[in-house]
Amino acid sequence: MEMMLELQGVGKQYKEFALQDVTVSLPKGYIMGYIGRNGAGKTTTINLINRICNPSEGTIRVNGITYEEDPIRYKEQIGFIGDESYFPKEMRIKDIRSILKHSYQSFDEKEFNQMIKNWKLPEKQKIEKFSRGMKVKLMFACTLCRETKLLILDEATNGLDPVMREEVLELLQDYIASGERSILFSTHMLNDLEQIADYIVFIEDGKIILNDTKDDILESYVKIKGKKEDLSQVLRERMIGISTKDYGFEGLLSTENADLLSKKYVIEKPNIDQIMVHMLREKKGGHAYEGI
Amino acid sequence: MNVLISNQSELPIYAQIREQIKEQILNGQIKEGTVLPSIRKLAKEIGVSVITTTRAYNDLEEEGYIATMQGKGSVVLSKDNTFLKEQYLMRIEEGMLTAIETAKRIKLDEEELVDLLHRLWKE
Amino acid sequence: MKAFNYFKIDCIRCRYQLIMAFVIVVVFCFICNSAQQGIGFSCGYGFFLAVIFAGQPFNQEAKSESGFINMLPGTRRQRVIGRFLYALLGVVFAVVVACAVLVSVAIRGMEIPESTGAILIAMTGAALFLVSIQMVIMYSAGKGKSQQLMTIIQVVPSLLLFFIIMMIGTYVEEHNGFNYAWILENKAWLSSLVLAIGVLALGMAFIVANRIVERRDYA
Repeated sequence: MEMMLELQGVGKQYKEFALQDVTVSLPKGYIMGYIGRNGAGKTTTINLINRICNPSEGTIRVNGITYEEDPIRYKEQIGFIGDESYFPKEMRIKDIRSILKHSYQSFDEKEFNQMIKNWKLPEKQKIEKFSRGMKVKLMFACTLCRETKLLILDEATNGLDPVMREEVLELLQDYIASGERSILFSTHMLNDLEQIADYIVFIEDGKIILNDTKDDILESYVKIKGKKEDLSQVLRERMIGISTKDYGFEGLLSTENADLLSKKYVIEKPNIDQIMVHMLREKKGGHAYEGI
Repeated sequence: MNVLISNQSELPIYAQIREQIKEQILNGQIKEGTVLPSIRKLAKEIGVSVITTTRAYNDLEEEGYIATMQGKGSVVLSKDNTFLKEQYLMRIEEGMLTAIETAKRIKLDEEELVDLLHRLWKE
Repeated sequence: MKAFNYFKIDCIRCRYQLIMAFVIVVVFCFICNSAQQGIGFSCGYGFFLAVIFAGQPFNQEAKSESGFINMLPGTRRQRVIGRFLYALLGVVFAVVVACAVLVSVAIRGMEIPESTGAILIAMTGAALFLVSIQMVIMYSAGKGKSQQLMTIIQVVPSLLLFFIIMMIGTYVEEHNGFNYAWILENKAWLSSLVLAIGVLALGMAFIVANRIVERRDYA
């Protein structure tokens, strides 16, 4: 499989935070969810990929080339959908159009105008007056009407209503439909995005702690709830991120320990967000709250 | 072809897809020779990841229901395939084992079970 | 060329400042001119404003950070070139306005002092020099600094130029005949020297700016 994005031993040192030994590969034609808490290092990683910041160590390749090899082509291949403050707020769509036209070789003005029209984005208004949804649509318009290979989204769906989220999901799936382009989206909460993700990478405190296909991760864990008296010592040791409250206990169990399962527990399939929560809880100390 | 997946099901999603397509092939809803939608198209249509549909199709291919040809897509294989026949036989066996187990639980003996079989066959 | 692109972007972002600069300089210069404040003063004011003008893009960036601009496919050097082109625009504009003032004076039949040409060249050099210092300060300060600091930094070099011009004017008046004659005699190469220093300073500022930006994280 050819890789669209390769991070090899990437590190970045800040005063109070360090990204360490990040090694991740995203093949062509697939979607990767990059999840972690706020402050875990997601945006730092993305800034390094976008070359907004320089890595302290390691190499990053997008579609086979590093930034040093060809900075112009490197940046042209990347499309980025970010948060609210992406565009200079005093600009208008005509300014954006003009800048895009002169900056990107593959910019298709007709397509851009068509998208603006379809999404009913106001030409005359300053971008600071746009709603969140409108800004996201404009960011998509800027990216989709030129040739890119890697689409990166950084907390792009935060604050969007469910209808818009659905539209974004569709746009993302369209983007990878040909198998030639890839998507990396980073978020602190997957929700519906989980459905379309092929790979999940989980970062905490600057280090990657999970990196696998989504399906494999989902198959690796079950969530169990049970009565406090049914919490055996063996179970307590094997479970991940147990939380004991007055009414009972709940936690994650690796499917390797399926022998411990029995009908007395309530068994559910967790989603990725829940797996993340439990792993973090486990890392912190296992027990969120001890009831009486 | 219909594929309806449920997040509440016990089966993982790729297994649901696999089983539903398998079912429709077995009961003739999807005819042999039909070209199934591409892995990517199916993923987009039902809103799941590409790896998930890939796995479902891989399983179906391994079990002999479909064959994937580069550039042409995945095509449903003929039912007269002996491999497929084995699948059918396995299904019959499974059904019979369930019937036997249930019969034993309600203390039905072998003869009565066979009578039941004859009666149902005639219907 | 990509660098010119960044220059255009700075123009778009500083659109209002551009218009304001145009209006203020032209109006002020011609008002001064009609009130006969002295050709030197009305021409010089444009150069004073050029220094403030050169710092505007930094101000704009401090006001609203833009991922969109940072993501554009251009090298950091091209971005610096564009920024310097913008700064040069201010100086060029000041020169053009000064010439326009002189032309209007000549048309009206008033006399143009002999040393005007030399003074203009010297002022250009001085402006370039101060712009260079300002650019280095602005680039060193980085984007995280508060807007107030930016404003102070901006105003200081331009005020410096203003006061230097005033001081030179006063000195020249007070010491009439002292060193004045020597300066007048050598005005050609003296003013050229000032211009050369200004251009050299700009070149050095460019190199320093590139060094600063190459290593830096934007975020």
